[in-house]
Amino acid sequence: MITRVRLASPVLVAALTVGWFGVCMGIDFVWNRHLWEATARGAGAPADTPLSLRINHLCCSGCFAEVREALKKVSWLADESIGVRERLLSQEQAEGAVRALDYSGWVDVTVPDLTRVDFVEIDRVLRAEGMVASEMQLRFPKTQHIRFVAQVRHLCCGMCVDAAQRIKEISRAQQLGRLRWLDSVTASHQRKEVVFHARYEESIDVAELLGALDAIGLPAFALRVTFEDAVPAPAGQS
Amino acid sequence: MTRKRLLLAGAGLGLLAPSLALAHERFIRHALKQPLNDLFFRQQPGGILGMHPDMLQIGILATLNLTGFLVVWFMRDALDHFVRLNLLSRLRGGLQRTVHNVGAFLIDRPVRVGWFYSFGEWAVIMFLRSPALVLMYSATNDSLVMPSYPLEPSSATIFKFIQVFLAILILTQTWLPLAGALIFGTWIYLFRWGPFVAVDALPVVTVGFVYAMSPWQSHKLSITRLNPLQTRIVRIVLGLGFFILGWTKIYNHDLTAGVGDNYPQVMNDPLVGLFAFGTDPALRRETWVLSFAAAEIMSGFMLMTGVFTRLWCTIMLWVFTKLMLVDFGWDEIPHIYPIGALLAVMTSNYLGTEFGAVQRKEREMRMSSPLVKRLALVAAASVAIAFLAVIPMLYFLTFTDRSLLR
Repeated sequence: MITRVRLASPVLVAALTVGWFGVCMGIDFVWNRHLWEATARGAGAPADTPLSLRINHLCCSGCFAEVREALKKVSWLADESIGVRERLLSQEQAEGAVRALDYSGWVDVTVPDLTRVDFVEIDRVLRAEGMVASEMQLRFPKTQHIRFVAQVRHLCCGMCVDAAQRIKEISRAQQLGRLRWLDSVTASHQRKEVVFHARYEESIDVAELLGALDAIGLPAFALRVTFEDAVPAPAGQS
Repeated sequence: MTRKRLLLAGAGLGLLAPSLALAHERFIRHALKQPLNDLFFRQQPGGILGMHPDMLQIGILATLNLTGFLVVWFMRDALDHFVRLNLLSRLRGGLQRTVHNVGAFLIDRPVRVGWFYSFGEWAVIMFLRSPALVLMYSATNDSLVMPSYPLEPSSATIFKFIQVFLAILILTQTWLPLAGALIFGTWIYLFRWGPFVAVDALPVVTVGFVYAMSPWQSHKLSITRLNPLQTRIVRIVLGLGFFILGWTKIYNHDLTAGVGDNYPQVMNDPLVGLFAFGTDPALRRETWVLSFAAAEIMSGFMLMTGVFTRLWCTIMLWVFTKLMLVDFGWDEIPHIYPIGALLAVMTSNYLGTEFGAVQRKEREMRMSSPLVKRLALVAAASVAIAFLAVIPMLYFLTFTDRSLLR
């Protein structure tokens, strides 16, 4: 039998709320450490370099030299600045190291005209040197309306077009939390072309898109970015 | 190492800024089939207030609609008096009582009928327990609070166990104030994933207030009624949730249009069609997004401010039930919670309004002023309220660029 009803005071409820929020953040920090570190890494990206490549194999300055050599083979990158974001070990130091702590690193590339970039070509020249970019972060003003145009040789029928348009679903990108920036897709098998319309973002990982195209069996032989308006202006407007 | 720690600390602070948080996806399919005309939602050179003519038209229609409801609401005492004198006085017995009760229901007066009272008790029990079902459903779908946003796999297990613990507290009605604080704290944590995740879960906070105001010995009590203060808080928070969700539908127009693309039947709603009447058919999807949002903004505003609360609860009950059973199916089963909340508010006999001042003034003038003068006061107040509720925010949104979305 209840002889006295006890209510929680607003102060106690507020204290419990704040405490519980702290517990949630603590759980997040301990179990989702990779997200916190990713945010910290993202904050370190230089603002003036529109393209950053995450090279998983970047153990020493020798590896970076090969990456730079590979990228310099691309005609539109030959005169551009290609730099590594964090100081690397020398080959001698790496030789003496017994454990790979952080094996990967960011390579920042200055490209004044992003429309000249062909991401497939970057991927191709890196692979030819035995390297690969696990992320290709493209940065641009967040209000910029952009789209990616992929040239796909085997875009041969309506089924291929449907596959391209449902790329997030078929490649399992949706379940894996990838291509979150993707707004919509239009494909034409006559032009052998798939257009990926992006949402307003500050940066996009283009490697996700290349991976998804591979996953659905439509590897691109060229992938470029364009900055035109993706849709016409409203009726009556210029 | 020190630099790395500094970066991590910076990241920790940065997590409070939504632009750094990562996005989570909805379960309901929402991928756009075709790009939306984003420029429609932005500032237009040459347009009135810089808005697209169709956008302005929908905004004005929503304002007029809201004004109409407010005028009738402020004059409801006079209308009630008229009905009593001219209709009820001519009726007798059961029919008179029925008409009287229907009238009382529509103008938010107490409905003194046994079955309505019993139904209200059941609705409160459903409202208080249904969050446990939503939490259990979210846990089994690797989500947090709302199934719309999946958990990060690395922390999924611990958050799923926490949700089950919270669901057990709710189902057994144990330490409800603690359950309330857990709901509030978890909701604040949702901001870590961006403001739009938290806004989506805002209706869940409603029940947290009732839990927080319950006794610690809640497991020994049968809670079947909400007191006037609880009813008011539930109404305001629930309405505010829908009101803000309506605005986010415009801000996040691609997601709204994407749902319409995947479930075209939802685009045939008559109220939504009313707002879009006469707009450019070439911009059907864009105007649908606006009209859909306007309908939600209007209903949320009226619920929040206590204007025809029961009527709007009934309309929203219909909409939520239809979305759950007809349009989206099993994916929207968590709608069972807002249905419970709306039922609890609808069956309450403690409904009030936030516009008591206008109503008091209208009552004062009844003895001394002619009907025209009272109508003028009511019309002016209604236009001002409706205008402020719709147009400034609609105008402000034309300057935004969706850059807060992740």
